[in-house]
Amino acid sequence: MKQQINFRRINVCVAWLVFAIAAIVYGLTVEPTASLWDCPEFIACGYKLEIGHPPGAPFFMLVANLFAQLAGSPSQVALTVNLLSALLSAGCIFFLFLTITHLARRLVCPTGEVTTLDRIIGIEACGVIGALAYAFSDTFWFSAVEAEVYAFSSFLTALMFWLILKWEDEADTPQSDRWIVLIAYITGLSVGVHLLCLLCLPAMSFVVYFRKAKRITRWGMLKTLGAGILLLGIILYGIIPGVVTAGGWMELLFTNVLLFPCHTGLACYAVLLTCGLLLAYYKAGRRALRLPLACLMMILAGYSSYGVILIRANANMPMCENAPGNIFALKSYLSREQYGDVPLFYGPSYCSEPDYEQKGDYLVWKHKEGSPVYRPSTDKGKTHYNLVRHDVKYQYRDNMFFPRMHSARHARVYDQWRDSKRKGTVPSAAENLRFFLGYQVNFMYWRYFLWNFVGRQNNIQGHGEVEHGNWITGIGWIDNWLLGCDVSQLPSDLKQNKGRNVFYALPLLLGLAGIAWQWRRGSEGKRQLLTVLLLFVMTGLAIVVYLNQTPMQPRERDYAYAGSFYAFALWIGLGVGMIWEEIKVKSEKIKVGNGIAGAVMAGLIGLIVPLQMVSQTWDDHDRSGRYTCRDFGANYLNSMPQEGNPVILTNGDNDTFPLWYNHEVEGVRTDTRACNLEYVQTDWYIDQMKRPAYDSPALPVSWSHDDYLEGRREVVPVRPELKEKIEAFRQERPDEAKRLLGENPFEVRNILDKWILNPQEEMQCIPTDSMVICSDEGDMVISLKGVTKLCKKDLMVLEMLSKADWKRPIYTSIGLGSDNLPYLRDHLVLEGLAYRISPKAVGKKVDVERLYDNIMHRFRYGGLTVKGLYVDEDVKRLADIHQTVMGILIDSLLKQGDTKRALAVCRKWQHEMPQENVPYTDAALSMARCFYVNGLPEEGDEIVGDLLRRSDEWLAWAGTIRPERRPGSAYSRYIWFETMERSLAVAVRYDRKKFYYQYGKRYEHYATQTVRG
Amino acid sequence: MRHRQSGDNNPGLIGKNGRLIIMAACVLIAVGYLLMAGPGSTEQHFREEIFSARRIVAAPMCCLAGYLLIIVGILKRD
Repeated sequence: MKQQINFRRINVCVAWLVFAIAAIVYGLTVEPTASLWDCPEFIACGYKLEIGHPPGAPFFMLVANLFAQLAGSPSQVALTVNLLSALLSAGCIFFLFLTITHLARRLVCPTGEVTTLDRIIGIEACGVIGALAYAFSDTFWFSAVEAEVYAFSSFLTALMFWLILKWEDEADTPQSDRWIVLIAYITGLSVGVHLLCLLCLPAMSFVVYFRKAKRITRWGMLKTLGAGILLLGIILYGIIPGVVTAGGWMELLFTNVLLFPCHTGLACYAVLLTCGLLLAYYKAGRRALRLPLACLMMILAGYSSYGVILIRANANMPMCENAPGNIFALKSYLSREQYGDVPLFYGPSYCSEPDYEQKGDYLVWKHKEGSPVYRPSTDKGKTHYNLVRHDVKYQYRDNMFFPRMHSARHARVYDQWRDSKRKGTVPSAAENLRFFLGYQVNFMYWRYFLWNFVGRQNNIQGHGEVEHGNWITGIGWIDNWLLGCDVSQLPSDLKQNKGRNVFYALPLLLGLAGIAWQWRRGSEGKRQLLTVLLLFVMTGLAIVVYLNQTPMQPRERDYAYAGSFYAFALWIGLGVGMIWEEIKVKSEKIKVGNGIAGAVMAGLIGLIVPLQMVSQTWDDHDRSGRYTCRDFGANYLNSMPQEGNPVILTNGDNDTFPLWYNHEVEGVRTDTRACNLEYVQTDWYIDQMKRPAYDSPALPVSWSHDDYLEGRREVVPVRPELKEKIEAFRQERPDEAKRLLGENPFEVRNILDKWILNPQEEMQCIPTDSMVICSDEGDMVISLKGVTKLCKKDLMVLEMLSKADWKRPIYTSIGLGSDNLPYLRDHLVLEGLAYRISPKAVGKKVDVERLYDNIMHRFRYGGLTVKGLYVDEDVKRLADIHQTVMGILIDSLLKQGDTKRALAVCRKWQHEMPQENVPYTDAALSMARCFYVNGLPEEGDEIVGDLLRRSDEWLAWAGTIRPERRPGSAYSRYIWFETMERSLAVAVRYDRKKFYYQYGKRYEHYATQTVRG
Repeated sequence: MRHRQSGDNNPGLIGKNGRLIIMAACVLIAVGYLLMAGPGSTEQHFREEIFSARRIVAAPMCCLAGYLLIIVGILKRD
């Protein structure tokens, strides 16, 4: 008994020690400000309770808000929210440790009593090694040092799994039910963080079955599996949407029929639901009924955190995605409607043709009407819900089972996976399965798994090519064979990439040993194995099946599978048990050592794994000192002038969220407005743009809400053939034409007023291919040659431009690709990280003075001056944009003959973004030219030499790639060949003969190779 | 969320003290949501008050305290 108490005490102490190690590691490497992707948005959501992207994370917001209060100033808010992730991740490691030691204890001591010291040591070693291996693994660490929901969701998953083991220990006592109730409550809360947590429920049902069943049978296990998945389904597809849908009926009844103010029905619904459940609970005398009812109530109690979303959305905040301020909008928000439907088990492939049916004289696309969609409309102060549309499910011909290639937008990439003869037809079952296994399972799951436990090639996103984002072992000949190239000749860029982590597959082997150990330890072991396996599959492969991912994802998706890597870490811990047992058997044979020495030795051997892992992963997870997201976001805003309340049109994700962070959290440049072009297609976002935000007045949009309501004017055709008719009409009846079509019928404001806003739908078109915005500043002609249609977002941009009258400057961000707003291309003037849309742009593409001022005096560079700062792919991409702009400025200054200021820009560049942190690209050749012009040949040589050396390394290595894998690398090869060519051109131009002697031959060699390849 | 009830002969679920705590927690959450509510911005003017301390500091803390207190209530033994 004494030993047992000792074990408990030691176990908890070591758990806290592991927690402390993880917390310190994450605390040291945490990002001191916002990170890229969704993090800036989440920080604003926590700090100011604004509404982020669907389906929202209200409980995360509440906890993040508490942490945000600890910040001394707004600039520290991001750090405190990041620290929340760090602490929750350390908490996850804490429960991982306790879970491993629980499992190991049951394997070693069937009675549950730990009696000897060697057993204590052995069990603790399992826990420490498994927990630390996971703590230092790539995917988990990534989420631990930034403000995302994944750290929180990992914590809740670990907590829930530990709670069920806690229950297992006490299952025979009367108090054990409260663990089940608590799990139900955490389940409810986790809906307000991330749905991923729910995926551990099936595995937990097995723990219950094994503990409670009198006799374990195959049939019983099958039933348990069914019950577990059913439970998941009930929560996911029943309770979560059902409660809201029922609330909608009540709201509809109260508002539309009984004419109460809105939200009355909802309030009554909440009260009725609570009372009803309570009544049912008390009427139900039997435990078998009471426990599920108590659990249901607790799930709903946790789920009620969505009140935050509903209430805050009614405050009409500057950032309020999808505006879920009423129960119906909340339903769309929760079901993530904006991301569209993905077929799962039966549905169309990407090649399926729409199914048509005869309706009168026309053929129409066959569709099923789904649930009705209501939206509020206010009339004379009275709010009423209108039926705006029904969810429509369009029907296709040639549906298939388990459609994995489903997105018509990705047809080109799917085709690459198929037999070239069959392109354009519905994929066969074999092709479908090949894509599922080859891409979704292998590339988008196992690759990530192996990154974590075998090794990762580098931190650059891979799309299947040899050089980016693969998994590797670190053992030369294996990697040569895996990748199909000679890894000993890797270019230094790739060799020194901090994201290159090699574990020699040691964690994988230890985890497999853990599985083997469970398998060998009798029925208890096999039961554990089944439970952990289910957790592993549900949080891994099951997500793969559910997500049905398309190719060309915008970023690596490993974070979604952290739960399954968690399950594998359990096995890594238990792997130490295997080593321990082997040592014990061997030492008993040769009769040396005692039990304690064996356990210590197993622990020491096992410890190699986490230590080797952290030696590799530290440098690419250490985000300390990095302020790039904050500063680069501010640079977008500071590219614009201080006066006139400028507006910037931006693209999604990293082009928008850092700007929001600056506005919402740090209060930087609140006189400006960021307008995301992806969202401006939606009515709720236009509503927001029509409201003032901080110091920025409402955007100049005169349309009424009804004009841009969802479903209206989504796309309008461009009809140049009407132009002649209008001209003829003007000739014939000038007065009537003026009255009907405006003074100049091709002026944008007249087209919008007379045509687009015309209530007759057939009039809603652009009747010309050339429009003009007239003003005192000069006329701006917008050519729509080759454009067949304009979307609502285009119409909004035109509306703003015509109404702003150049008094309110409108910019487009540099990240907005040329696909967006192509008709404005001739009217853009570069001033920083943004182009000003200007009627005077023709012939003048760069505002040198403003650009110079911005780069030299107003921009900040995120702490990149500190050599050794961790620059990942996304940060590098943003830094490259800065360098490109600097290159353009240097060229422009040189053209003006202003060599002195051009040199100043070069110095700024080299000081702010030293090449150790941001390696040179082609853009640096502008700098080299400037040095040569200024009579500084050594410095110019340094740049040209660096680019030539690196491109030579790349191209030489590319030559070692096996021919069948070369096509994937064609782009990299092309880029580096271009770099070499341009560098040599600069060398020749400034008469740097030595480079030509050194690289001329090699260049010609690569030229013939590139042509052949 | 659950009321006191006489003759509760099922000690396995939450006890009397626990139920009291959960009730108090639910009141806290409700108070939190009341504090969070209020008028919003309009097309005419931006209302600074939507970010007042009452609505984005006191209210969420109140709610969070309530949500955490429920855990205490569930685990409380009589």
